[in-house]
Amino acid sequence: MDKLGVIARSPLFEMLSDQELDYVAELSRPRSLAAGQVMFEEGALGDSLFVIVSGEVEVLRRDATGVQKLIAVLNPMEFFGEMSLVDKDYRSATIRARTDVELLQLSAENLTTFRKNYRDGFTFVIINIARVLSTRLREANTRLAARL
Amino acid sequence: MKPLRLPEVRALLAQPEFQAWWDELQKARTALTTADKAYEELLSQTTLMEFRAELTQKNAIDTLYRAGACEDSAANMVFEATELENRSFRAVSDFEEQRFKVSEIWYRLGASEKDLDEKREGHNQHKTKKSEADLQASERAHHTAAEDYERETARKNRLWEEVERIWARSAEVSLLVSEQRIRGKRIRKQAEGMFAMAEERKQRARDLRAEAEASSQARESAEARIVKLIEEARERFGCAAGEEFLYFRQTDNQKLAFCVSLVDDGETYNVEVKPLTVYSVDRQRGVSFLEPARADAPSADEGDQRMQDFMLKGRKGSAP
Repeated sequence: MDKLGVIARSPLFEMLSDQELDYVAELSRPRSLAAGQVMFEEGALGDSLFVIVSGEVEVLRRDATGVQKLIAVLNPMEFFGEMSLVDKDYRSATIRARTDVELLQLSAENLTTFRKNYRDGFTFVIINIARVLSTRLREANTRLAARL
Repeated sequence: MKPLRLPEVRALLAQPEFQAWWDELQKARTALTTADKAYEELLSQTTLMEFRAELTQKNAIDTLYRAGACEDSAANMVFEATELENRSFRAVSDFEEQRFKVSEIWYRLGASEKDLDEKREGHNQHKTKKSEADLQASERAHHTAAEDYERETARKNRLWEEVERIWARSAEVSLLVSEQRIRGKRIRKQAEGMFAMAEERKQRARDLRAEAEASSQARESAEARIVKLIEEARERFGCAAGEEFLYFRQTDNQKLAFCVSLVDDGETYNVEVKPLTVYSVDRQRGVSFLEPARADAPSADEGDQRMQDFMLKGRKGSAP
């Protein structure tokens, strides 16, 4: 797996220097899921974020009646699992592989190592997470406004 | 364990002496893997061959029992045939006796018929009360003789039918005896073949076990070679050595150590471990938490222009 190539193209690591990207690649661990396999369940504890290398994953969330609904499909270079890292809360959604999927896993501990060595690089990662969360919030606001 | 800085560790890894040691370790590990595989394979073949030998032996014993059953059946049939032969002699004797009896009755019937004719003729010539009584007595005697003849002849025929039935059964049994004997022989031969095969398989299993033991020795020797190489590393490179990592104290921080991976492992550790990669570990946690070692970090101390640029430039809606 070309870890560095994937990391360099992921929006999560935008603005990082080559050295930083190289270090993140070293800190990341490859994972794979078969189609239909669940990476984690909504409500579970978690301390890792994942970057999709290949394949597609479904983001599923239970509604008020407990029925699981598809809320998004994520593609290569996109990432998930970042919310639990930021808010230290339980997983907000279930992630299930739609196809066979290859991932890169970055644990909170490994990100801390990254921070220890590359503080500004780490800040950029956090900013990138915030940017994605901000984009999602804007989209949610737009949808909410359309409904009101 | 000697204290080193990261460039010194990297320089050590680049030394021909270390490279030669690493090549030797890899060779020994390859030899161990090969011997391991060979041992496992031979052991599984041995177990399989022993099982097959045992199964063949059991089948041979079962087949031998079947041959014995066929031979017993043939012996029983011979006995039955002998019985039938004896019965047939008795039946023929009974028949001959009956035939003699029927012949006698036949003569008696002829005599009574002649007597009846004479009595009938005498009565026709001189019809008297006496001649009539004589004629009636003669008619009764003839009638009785005719009935006897008919009954005894029927018995004679039945006896003959019995003789023929016994002869037929005797012939049938005699014919089947030889077939059963041949079948018994054939099955016995099969059983003997199976015993021979079981022996061959036992021998093959013994050979395989010997090969497995030889392979086990090769395995032990490769293991010993690895242990020796790790020991050598300790002495030659001044490090602490485990089976998967070499450890060097860090000159600049007593609480930290560098460790050099000797394995390729993407599953077990917190990072994907590649051979000869240098990691930094603290003394408490050891390799349970690996940090890829870096000499060129951190950027924070130097002050990074990117952060300032990001924070102050290129906002949406602002002039570039």
